[in-house]
Amino acid sequence: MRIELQRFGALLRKEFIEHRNLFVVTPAVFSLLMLLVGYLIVLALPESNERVLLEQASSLLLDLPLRSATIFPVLLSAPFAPALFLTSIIYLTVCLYQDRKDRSFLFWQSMPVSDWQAVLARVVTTVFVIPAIAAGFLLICLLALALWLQFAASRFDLPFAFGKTLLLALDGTVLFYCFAWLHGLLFMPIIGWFLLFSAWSRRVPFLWAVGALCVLALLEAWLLDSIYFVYWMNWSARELVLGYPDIFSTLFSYDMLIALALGGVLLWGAASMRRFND
Amino acid sequence: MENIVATRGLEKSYGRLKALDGVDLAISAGSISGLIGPNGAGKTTALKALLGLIDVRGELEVAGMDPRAARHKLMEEVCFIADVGILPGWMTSRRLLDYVEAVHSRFDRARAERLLAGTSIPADKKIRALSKGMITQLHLSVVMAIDASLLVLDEPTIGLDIMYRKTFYDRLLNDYYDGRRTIVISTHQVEEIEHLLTHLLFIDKGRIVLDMPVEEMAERYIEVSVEPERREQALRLGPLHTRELLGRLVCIYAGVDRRQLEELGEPRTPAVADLFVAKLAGDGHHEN
Repeated sequence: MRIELQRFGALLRKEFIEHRNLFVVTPAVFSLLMLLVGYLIVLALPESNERVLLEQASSLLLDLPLRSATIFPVLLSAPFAPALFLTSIIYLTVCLYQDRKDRSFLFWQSMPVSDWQAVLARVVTTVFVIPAIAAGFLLICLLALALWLQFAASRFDLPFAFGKTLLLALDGTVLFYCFAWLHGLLFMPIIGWFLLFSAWSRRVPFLWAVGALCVLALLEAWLLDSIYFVYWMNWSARELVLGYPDIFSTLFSYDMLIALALGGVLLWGAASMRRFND
Repeated sequence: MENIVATRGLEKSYGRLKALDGVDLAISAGSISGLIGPNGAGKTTALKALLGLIDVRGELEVAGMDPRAARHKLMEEVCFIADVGILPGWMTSRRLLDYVEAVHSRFDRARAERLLAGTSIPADKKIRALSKGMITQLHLSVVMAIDASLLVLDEPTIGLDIMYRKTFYDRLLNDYYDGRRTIVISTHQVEEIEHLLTHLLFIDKGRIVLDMPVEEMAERYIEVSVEPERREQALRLGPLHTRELLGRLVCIYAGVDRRQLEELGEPRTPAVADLFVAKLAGDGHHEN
């Protein structure tokens, strides 16, 4: 058991080192953009408006109970959700395909690591590691914002709940991370789908994966005269951007059960493809 | 001696092409076997089958396991080098050792570092920046630090210059082979490995056409450079293969009495390359 855990840890480290540019650069760019946009907005404001804005923000932060004020970091974290989705999709598309493209596949296969372990390492990376890195950047952004608010409030001689703001930043980050892995589990069929095409495709795995999704939607419309598939995709997209679901009820829901079952079948396909698709 | 590899009736097809057509193999533990065949003969397919990398029909046992059912467990016992350039280019050699140390319970890092100390491979340079020869040295050092019972090498020195090729096989013999481990080498460059081998396996069109210990081969196959006046007599004995060399007829015989052949010229053991050509090309003669 110890060696299996050690192996799995090594697989996760390997995934991080191999794809660290993607994992770190995408949220870093989003963070910088967010900070830059915030800075430009403040610059564009006349000084009197800046003061009004700060007064309102400061009184809201002072008056609102901590639980209700969480809405601020939640709103601020919204741009990170598509960034996270983008990073995950790019990663899932290339991770297994890359092994075959650079022929390192045979080296990985020469190690005592099962195809299931190799695929699961990618799943854990997608569901838990990538969101953790994005959450780290979100926290940096929120802390930077709290510092700026503190600095600006002191400039206008306004009272400011700095400690509470720090707590909110932490709370918002934890919530974002929970939201991210929960959606990762809920979107297991999408993870399985992209890993399947990453393991199978000889060229352009992303186009194959997306193209096959479109074909499925068209087939459903043509053969069954229904659009449940499109409806599900639309629901998923809205959930991704807007949804902060209740963690426990989502975790133990039928939706989750179905998602994990369907995802499991697709991941089995990806592991089988990885094994015999050299 | 106990067999570490045993197969019976292995079959693999790619569309209408039969890559393996009923391959029976028995490789004994402690041997150095050469799987020799022309391009497209089925060497790589056969080795991939032994390693559990492709699905095949037939009976298959490697180190007491079925590779199709337990590939990753088998890799505790088996190492392989497919060809040069398969190490992940984004890793450094230090990270490569870190990874193998973490996933392979039989890897001896100190030994790998000792082996690498004798090379000029930098620890923190990315593998993609190393030369082909260095990558092969690195891979061999990693493999030699794993206490495996079977090492499979598939065209391991392809694309390397003669210095690296020679170093590769010298290190393999001097620093790795101990008479207990088994090595299977596949190549079509027969001359390069024939001095290493204890067992010969010739493969052509997905079939094993020769499976024999080297000692037995030396007893069974005899080559004679025939005296010009004995030419007719030599051909009447039904050689397996004939060729002209410097104006003399050179014949390879299978299972013919050495005393009979001594009358034709000086008998000698054929080079593996010549026997390989004889077995694969043939001249319409069949073995007795």
